[in-house]
Amino acid sequence: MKMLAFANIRKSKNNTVTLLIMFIVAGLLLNAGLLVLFNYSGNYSKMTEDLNSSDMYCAIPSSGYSSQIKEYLDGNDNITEYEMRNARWCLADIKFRDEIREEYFLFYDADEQITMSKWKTAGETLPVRDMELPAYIPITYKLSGGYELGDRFELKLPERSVNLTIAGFTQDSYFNVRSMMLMGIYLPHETYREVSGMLPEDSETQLVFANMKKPDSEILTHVREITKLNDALVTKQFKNSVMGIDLAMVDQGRTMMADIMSIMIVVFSLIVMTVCLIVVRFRIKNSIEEDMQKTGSLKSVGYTSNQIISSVVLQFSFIAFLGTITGILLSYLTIPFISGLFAEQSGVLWEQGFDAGIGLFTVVFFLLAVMIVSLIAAKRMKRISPITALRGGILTHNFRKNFIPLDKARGRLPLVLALKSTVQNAKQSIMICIILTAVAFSSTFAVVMFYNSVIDTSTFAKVPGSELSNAQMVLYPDRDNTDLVNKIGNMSEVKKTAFLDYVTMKSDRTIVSVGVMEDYEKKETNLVYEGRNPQHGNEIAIGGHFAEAVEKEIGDSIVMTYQDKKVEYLITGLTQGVNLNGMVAWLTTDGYKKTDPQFQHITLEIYLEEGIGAAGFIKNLEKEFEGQYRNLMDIDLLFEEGMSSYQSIVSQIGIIMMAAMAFIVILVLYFVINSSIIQRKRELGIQKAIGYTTFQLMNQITIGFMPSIITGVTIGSILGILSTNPLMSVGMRAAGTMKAEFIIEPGLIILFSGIIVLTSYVTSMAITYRIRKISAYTLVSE
Amino acid sequence: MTNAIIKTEKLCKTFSTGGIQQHVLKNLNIEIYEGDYTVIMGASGAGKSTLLYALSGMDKPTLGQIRFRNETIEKLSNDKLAVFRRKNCGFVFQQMFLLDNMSILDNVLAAGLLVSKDRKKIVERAKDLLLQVGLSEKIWRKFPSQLSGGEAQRAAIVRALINEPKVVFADEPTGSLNSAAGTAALDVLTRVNESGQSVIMVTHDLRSARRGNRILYMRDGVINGTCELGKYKSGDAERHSKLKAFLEEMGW
Repeated sequence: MKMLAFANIRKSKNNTVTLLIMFIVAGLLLNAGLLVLFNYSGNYSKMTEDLNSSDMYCAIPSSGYSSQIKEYLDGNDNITEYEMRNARWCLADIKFRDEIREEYFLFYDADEQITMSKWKTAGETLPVRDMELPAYIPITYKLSGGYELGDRFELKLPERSVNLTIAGFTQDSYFNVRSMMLMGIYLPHETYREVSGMLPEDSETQLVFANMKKPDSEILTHVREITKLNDALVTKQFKNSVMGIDLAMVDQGRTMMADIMSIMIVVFSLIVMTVCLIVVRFRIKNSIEEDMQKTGSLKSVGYTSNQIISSVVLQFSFIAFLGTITGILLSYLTIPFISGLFAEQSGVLWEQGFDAGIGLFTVVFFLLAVMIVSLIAAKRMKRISPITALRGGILTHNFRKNFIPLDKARGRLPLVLALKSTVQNAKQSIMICIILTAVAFSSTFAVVMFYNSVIDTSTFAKVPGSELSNAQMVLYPDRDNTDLVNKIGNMSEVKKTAFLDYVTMKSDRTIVSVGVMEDYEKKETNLVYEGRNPQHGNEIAIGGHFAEAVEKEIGDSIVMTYQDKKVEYLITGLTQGVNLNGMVAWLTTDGYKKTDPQFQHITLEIYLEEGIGAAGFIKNLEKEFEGQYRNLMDIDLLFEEGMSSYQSIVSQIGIIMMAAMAFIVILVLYFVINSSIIQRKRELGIQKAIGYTTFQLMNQITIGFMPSIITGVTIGSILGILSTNPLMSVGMRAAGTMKAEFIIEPGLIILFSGIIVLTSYVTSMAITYRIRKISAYTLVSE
Repeated sequence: MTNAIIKTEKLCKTFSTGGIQQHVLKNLNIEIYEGDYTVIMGASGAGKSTLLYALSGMDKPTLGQIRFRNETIEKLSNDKLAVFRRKNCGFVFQQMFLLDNMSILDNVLAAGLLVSKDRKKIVERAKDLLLQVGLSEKIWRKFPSQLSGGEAQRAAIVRALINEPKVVFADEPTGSLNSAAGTAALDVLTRVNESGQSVIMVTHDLRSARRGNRILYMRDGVINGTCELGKYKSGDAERHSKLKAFLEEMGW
């Protein structure tokens, strides 16, 4: 049995190698996907556990800190423990790869004894003695920023530069990634004192780390109320901001992308595996026909059908085993690449050792699938009697109907012969159609992701639920800003302005982030996926995730609370939004004032006319209205920077998926066409003898595959178009995106589908070129 | 004397198997005349089929020249040879080599439509030829596997004739047929020749050889002797004796 299996492998070396490569790709992808899915987030969770990360933290400017805060923390029953720490923060420009970035930094005394939310070094460190301003900086700078140990880390402040020397890289829970706003720099005690002296006076801050019985964002809300520093965003003037976040949100922010991408990789690997199984089935069916006489000989000398079938199962199981094992081993070589891909967003140094469990699962899963498919495909051998097999299997070729008779068919001869072949080889055509459907489906998905993350990012930007204005001005709450707002609204560069503030309310014990806006008609980012935005004071739109949690739907009433004041609202719409895990709602200004009559809008969203750059406009505003507002932000820049890491991940994975799909198409076509040529060698020889040229035969074979390729690509693309958003909705539901509305650009999908078809045509022509070697003479002399 | 349709000069064909050179055709200078029914005979391994396929452009010689009318064919590319074959040659093989996946009519048209763009005309001609060789309409849509050997061979002959080739090359056309079927196939070839087309046939069979007007006898890659029999006439005992005597002389 073993002997027969290995003889078969030796006989069909080319096909074996092709199949092996496909199993390597599938094994590599599945193992890598599972490693990311199960270990990446786990690796991060373990790190937060090891560092005893607190449930939340908030940073309070020292100028706004008062004993009231400590009294509040001591008196809150929900807080089980907390720790306070002194630090410094500042906004500075740094070099990141080849660009200059503006980032918020938090400076810590590295020698301070702490118990909660600790930090640790990642990898080697350098001795700090004699080093000029040594510093430990987040590992992200090494993984994505291009920094190495001993490098200069220059922070450019408005007044001066601070030149630190990198003594090590760090990992911690809160201050390791840019998307979480603050980057933590840990300085030896003496350096900390020295650097503190270089920073602005108002840079001193108090950090509060707290653990809670039931983690929520209540602490942050209360601290903001006590300090009267209610800006939700960090402002350039730190004295005006209380910054904070809870660990669950950080977890999600840092690992969400890795989770989504790992699911995509796993799904993709399963598609590749399905393709492998289809090819195995095809190969077995073909080899039954090709080796019919050999089977007859074996049966006639006493081999049982089960022995022959077992040899086939063993042959393909061995290829699958070898390919999967190689794929698993190779997947570990991709870990540094994957780790680097997610590093900027996660700030996690992922050191993955060999995971025997996942490896074993991958091997067993593949082997079982291949064994089952091989057994089913080879089962037919049982029905063939030795004598039938020895006669070449009369039963195997049974042409019942002469499809597309040449005397009646219209069109050019190679085309007609090709179509005849397509119909006659219906099973093979269906197989190619199914494979191309899977390939085109995955490619469409990749193209949509690529388009939305790189070309038109507006929908991707909606995922966090942020409003996409161009600039944002935070006003002083205790002033009459009417004149200022009117002046800005009347500027020629300004298309429109709208107030949009975020407040925190409760629904029972659930903390809800509530957007408050006067007129939702002005909102650019429409997050409502069902129903409509609120228009009147008694109306509310709530996050879909939130609606599910409180079991409400459109038309129901919901009670919202702000500081003991309860108001009932009518739900008019369901929205997206990942803030607070989708616990979001939207009220009109009048509606919110029912709970907080003192409320005054302070955040003005500024939308600029087409072609006006936010950076230049902000400079003008700074000059013209200096001192009249509290803060001004370039939303275009923030958005662009915020998107860059997502773009990098999605575009790279999208490109890899597209390239892998092209590779699979080429492999599958090679496999099928190669088998087809071997099978049709006699037919091709006859055609050559009667005067067909190599090019005519190449075209005939290639065109014969085109109907199934075009049908498969069309079906796959349509399925991709129809199901990408529903699939993404399922994938991102947990994060609050209930209805993904990624832009599906038909032109691009048609273009990519065209590329697949063209690639298939060219590949097919290239593979069939070997027909030139089949001479008519070989046919007759054989 | 009629014109030579095919002429060879110092035609050689050598095969190399496992490093051993086997000279199958050795410096052959032969002429095949237009309208002749030329029969190539000889013992197994004499080089008959090799010569047939070299003359028809199915295989390339190792050395020497082959002129088909005024065209030198031995240096043509494979594709040019394919075009040459479809226009000038018709083939009848011992194993028929019909396309299994096509009906009889389609087999004929697969060759015919390669040359003629006039579909209607070529379909008519195919049907006409099929009827002429005794293949009735009811079997036109059948597949080769559903036909008897004789029927299949006659279908193969029709395929060979569909493009009105200048020469029909037949390699043991009766080799796998019973006596009646073989006779029927030979009758068709004879009629073809009588209509003016040249026929070159390789055979071991004396009964088949009798149909030719010129017999070339090969031994070890060279033409050992030639016998002119004159036009075939059924039941011509004198022709038969002449051929027999020739073959005896050749050591048959």
